[in-house]
Amino acid sequence: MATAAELLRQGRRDEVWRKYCGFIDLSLEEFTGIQERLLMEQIDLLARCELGRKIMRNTVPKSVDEFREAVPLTTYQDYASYLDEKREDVLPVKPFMWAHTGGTTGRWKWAPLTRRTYYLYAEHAITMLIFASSQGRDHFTIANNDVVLYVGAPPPYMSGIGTEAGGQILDFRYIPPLDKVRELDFRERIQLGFTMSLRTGIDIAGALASVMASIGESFGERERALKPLLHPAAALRVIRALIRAKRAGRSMMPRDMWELKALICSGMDVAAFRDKVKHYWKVDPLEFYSLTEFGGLAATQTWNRKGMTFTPDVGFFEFIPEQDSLRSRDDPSHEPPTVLMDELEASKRYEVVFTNFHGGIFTRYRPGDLIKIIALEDDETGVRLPQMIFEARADRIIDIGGFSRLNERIVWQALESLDAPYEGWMARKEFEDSQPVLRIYLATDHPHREQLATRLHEALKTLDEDYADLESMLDMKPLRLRFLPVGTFARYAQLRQAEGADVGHMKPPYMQPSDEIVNTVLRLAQE
Amino acid sequence: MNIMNSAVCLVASLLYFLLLSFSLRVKRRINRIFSAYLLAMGLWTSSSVMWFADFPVLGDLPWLQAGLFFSIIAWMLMCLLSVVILSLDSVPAVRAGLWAIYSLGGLLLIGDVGGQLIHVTRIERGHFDVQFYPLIYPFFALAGLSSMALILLFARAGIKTDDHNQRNRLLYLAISNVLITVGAFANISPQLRSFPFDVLFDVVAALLMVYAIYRYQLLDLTFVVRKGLLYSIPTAIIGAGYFLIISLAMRLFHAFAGSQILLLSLLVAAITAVAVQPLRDKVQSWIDKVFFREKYDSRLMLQRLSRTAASILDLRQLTSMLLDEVTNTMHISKAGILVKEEMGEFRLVAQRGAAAEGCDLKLRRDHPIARWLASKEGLLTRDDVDTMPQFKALWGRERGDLERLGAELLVPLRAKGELVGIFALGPKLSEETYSADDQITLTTLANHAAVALENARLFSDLKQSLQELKQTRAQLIQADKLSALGQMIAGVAHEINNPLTTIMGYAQLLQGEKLSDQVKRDLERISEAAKRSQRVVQNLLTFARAYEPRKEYIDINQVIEETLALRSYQLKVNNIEVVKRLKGNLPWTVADRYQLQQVFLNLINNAQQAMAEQGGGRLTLRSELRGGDTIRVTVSDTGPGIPEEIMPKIFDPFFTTKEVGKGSGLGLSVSYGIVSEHGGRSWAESDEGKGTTFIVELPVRREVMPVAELAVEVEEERGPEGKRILIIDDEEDIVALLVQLLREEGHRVSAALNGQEALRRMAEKDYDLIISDVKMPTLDGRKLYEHIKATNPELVESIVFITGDTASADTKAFLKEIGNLRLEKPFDIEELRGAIREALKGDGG
Repeated sequence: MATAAELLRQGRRDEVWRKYCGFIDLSLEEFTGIQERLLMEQIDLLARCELGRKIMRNTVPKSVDEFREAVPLTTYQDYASYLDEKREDVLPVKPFMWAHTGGTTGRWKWAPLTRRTYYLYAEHAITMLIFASSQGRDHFTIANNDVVLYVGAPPPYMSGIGTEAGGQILDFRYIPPLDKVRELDFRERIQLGFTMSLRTGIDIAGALASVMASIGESFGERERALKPLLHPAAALRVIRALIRAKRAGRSMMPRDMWELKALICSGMDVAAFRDKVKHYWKVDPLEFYSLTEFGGLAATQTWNRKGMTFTPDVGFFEFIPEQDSLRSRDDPSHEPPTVLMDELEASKRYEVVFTNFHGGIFTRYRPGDLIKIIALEDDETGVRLPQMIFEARADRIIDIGGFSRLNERIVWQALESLDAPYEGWMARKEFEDSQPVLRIYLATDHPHREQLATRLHEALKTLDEDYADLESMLDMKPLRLRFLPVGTFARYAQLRQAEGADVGHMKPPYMQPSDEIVNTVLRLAQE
Repeated sequence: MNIMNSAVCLVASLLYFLLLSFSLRVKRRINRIFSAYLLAMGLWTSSSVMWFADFPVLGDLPWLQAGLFFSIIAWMLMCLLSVVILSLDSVPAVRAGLWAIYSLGGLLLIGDVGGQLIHVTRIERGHFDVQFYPLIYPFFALAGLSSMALILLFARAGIKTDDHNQRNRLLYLAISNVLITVGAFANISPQLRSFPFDVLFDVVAALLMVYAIYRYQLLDLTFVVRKGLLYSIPTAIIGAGYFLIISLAMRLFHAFAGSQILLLSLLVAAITAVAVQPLRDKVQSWIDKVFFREKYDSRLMLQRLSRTAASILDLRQLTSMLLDEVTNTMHISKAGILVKEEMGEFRLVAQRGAAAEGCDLKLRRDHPIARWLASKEGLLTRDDVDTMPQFKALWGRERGDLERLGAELLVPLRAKGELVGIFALGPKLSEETYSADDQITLTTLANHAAVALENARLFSDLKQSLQELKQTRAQLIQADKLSALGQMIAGVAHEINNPLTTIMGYAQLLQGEKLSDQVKRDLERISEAAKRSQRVVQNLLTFARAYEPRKEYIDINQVIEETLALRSYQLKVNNIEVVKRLKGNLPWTVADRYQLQQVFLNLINNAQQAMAEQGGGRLTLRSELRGGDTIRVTVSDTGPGIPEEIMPKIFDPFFTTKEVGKGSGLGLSVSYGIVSEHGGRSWAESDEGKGTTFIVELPVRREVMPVAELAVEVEEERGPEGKRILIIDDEEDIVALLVQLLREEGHRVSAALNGQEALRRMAEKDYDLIISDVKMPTLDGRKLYEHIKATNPELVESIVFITGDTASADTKAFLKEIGNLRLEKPFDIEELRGAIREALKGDGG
């Protein structure tokens, strides 16, 4: 089996595209055919192991319908007692490695990765890079020996695993080198990565969108730090960047220094920071949808950076209509019905349910993610599969009066539209005289606080029609902005670091933080 | 006006626009650039038409300038196109080079528009004279350099790639660039400049590029060279012959006038016309033999196969011949043929090559490769399978099967428009990929083979159907015989079980008494003999399918492995080689692991004993999936075989060819019973003097018993004492035994010899536990149960049934339905105690 590196060396670019991105040309029928077939393989594997039999209630379904009828929906709790202890003997296939995620409550969730899933994930990493660097069908620029700057979490976080795995398919040059990454903390990694990139350049970058935007914003300060560099290549790069900045009549930006082919961003903040990232880096970040429990890429944008297209071979997808999803959260005894890919409707929201393929263990699993189907096809790219955007984690949506359901993306976008500097934020639903309010805790030193609150309210109204209706129809103004001194979130991070928390838990959750977290943040704000 | 030159340019121009219309259909970047190139070339040649035609509009110079303008744009686009095809557009140095070309091109375009490149153009007696300004020479130099660079880059990339099609494509592009360069440089010569050589060369180059970009897989460079030789050699021979004959005629006779030469020419032409076809065939054969040996051999192979294949009706012989021919002729290391079976699956029926050895694979009916080959035209390469998204549906084990098969090329075998088989070809020994020529040869071969294969398959199916019919008939006779036998055995077993229970019980009771050692030893012997009888009866009941299998989800291969492990030492010391051909990833099925182990153990033991007598041999165990829902296990030995006359008796109980005391004659009959109980079938095939094969077929079942029934928990508990127990059995000996035994345990025991008597006793007194027989006169166990259920439902749970009639379907169904505790006669004291403990659990005991 030729890898992308070999195919590219031989100039077989068509085959590279077909192998890694060809799935977007599948018809819906072909897509569901692949899904159903791989599900039957997975059922066979599950029936052979203890945990699989338990999850499937000791039945062996013979069809997709039987599977949906006989097997209950699951959450991490159904697996926790086995996976937390890494019980390999109860799994369908012996894991190749274990990955973990932060979990919403700070508790790690462990997920076994089979060998096949791992290599599939490596292929998906290349898929993302090709789309991220493409200007159209077949037209991509990533190549062997490209320099990759990765400033995300290291393995066993999935993003770290994917970054490493991608290097097995294309000959990348990582900065900092992967063996060093594990020894460094987040700041050191960024520092070393950018220092090295002055000499090597950067072709591909992977990071949180907010991190890339933040690097762009603080680039003027960084520029001063870079001046004493003596290496000729670095000096040449800086001089060239300075000339470019001068000619443009502005301060230096990352775009003057590096010409990125591809930028991959994860996190819910991509939509909020997209414009900033484009401004500073001159490249449109690619957004994708993945979870540790998936064991791979579930959906990705293509070259037009609009809706995301599902991948057919990572897991079997089912979808719970939004109303049933909400009902099942209020009434846990309600087993919500699911619809399949060919039953989706445009402009509707669904909660994702998926079943691992290739010997994974998560079966009819509810990660709690809410997506929106924006179209059933994309005429611009010629993709004939449903197009989705990620809305939010279902348990992190703030429901005000049953009218407006605000998610993290909308709050991010609203805050970013203010064009006012802030250190950090968190938002949650609270009650004042039994009336629900949206409380946003914002760390900023902006002098005009009242004005900021009004502007934020207006921005939320613009971004969310339902939120606007609260005022126009119910005469409600639910926003309560509580200002925190700048440095509060930095102190929180220090506190968490001192407590030995993992890199994924340095910040409080943006949406619906617990009372305990809010109290801690407020205490730190007063110090 | 030069009509000829104008016509050439006009044809070229039309051709470019035609190609453009095709190119625009595909919306890829390469196509877009190529379309732009074709457009520029079309406009250039259109300008040339106007120029050569001396069209009385605008004069000569503007048309010439326009032609130059578009040719400069075409040159820039050609450079860009080449860079994109070679994937060099992200290389900084190449990008810099492209920008240099664009800059110079831009300057030249401005120069051309400003009239600074060409200043005189004149037509005199059909010749053209174009004067260049010095500014154009850097253009010529750079164009020459860039063309040379592109030719080298294409050639280098073509040599580097190991993909035949890609190499073909790149070499075509290299040749196209050579033609363009030669055509362009023809313009430097004032003599050649007057003719549209560049137009001619560029048209040929464009056609080659079209092939290279769109249809390269259909036109093999080797094919072009071969055809070129094929036509040029006969032409040279005929031309030389013609020249020789005419020259000789003129030299010898000197007298030929014009009309005579014409006659002679016609004569030579007639001879040539007669000779040309045989000559061409001869030349083709010679060229292939000398320069294209593989092609020549392939043609011979096709001739041989088309002669012989249709006449072979034996599937094995036919597939063997096909594989031998193809692997030898095309120098292929591995190959296999998969043939469609009744259920629509494709089974590997023949193979060559070490990696495929022992590879017993099958493609399911919904296998993506089978579906693709059945629904689409053409064949599949390994790269196709690896890269096409449709094949993401392949299962892990299916990918493993393909790896084991080592197929580089999958050629469909189609008969009457239906896919009847698949030819899987491994890599060539030369490590070259399959050329388009190879693929054409193999497709032709597949077309021939498919019809022959279908005939052979139908013939084989017919033979098999006949064989199965015979087998089924024999099995029906056997089943009928065994069914009658089973009924008799079940009845006898019931009669034997009662006295056996009495014998075992009293023997055990007496052993607890104060008796002399001699008597105790005698009692021990009685007890042992009774237990041996109990085992014989149990085996008989198994044969008569009296026991329900204990079902669980099992891997048959694992059961075989475990059974083999039990006998590995004995097999080894008896000098028996064990060959395992167990199909990987056999589906699991619901079955009784221990009963199946007993079946395989019996078969292995029989085989071992048969071979041990001749000093050793080979035991082959094979497992496979048939028809998607049947697991077949075969156990073959190389022993002396079974004589035909005793074959019908081998499954009969107590039938044995062994010496007295060496075998009970129950092994095969018990195995037969177990397999039947599992819904399967078993039979034997034997070739006297060569060996015997036992075949066991089991259905793949996926329903699993509830966990509660699978889980067996054994808890040690102290026996409850002082309970009121009622014993009901029509066998007085058994009643007496149980009364004595339970009284010794400290219980208060009453007894009844039938159901009615039991009801009377129950009306008088309350009981904690009832131990009842099932088959009794007047009121049997079932009616008693129903009566108690109606009158005293709380007591229902406290009934333990004892029965020796487990062969009866009614009794089995009744006991299964109520789910009460039961004891099967004969039982020993410990079993009875355990059952009483269990029954009294809920009673506070």
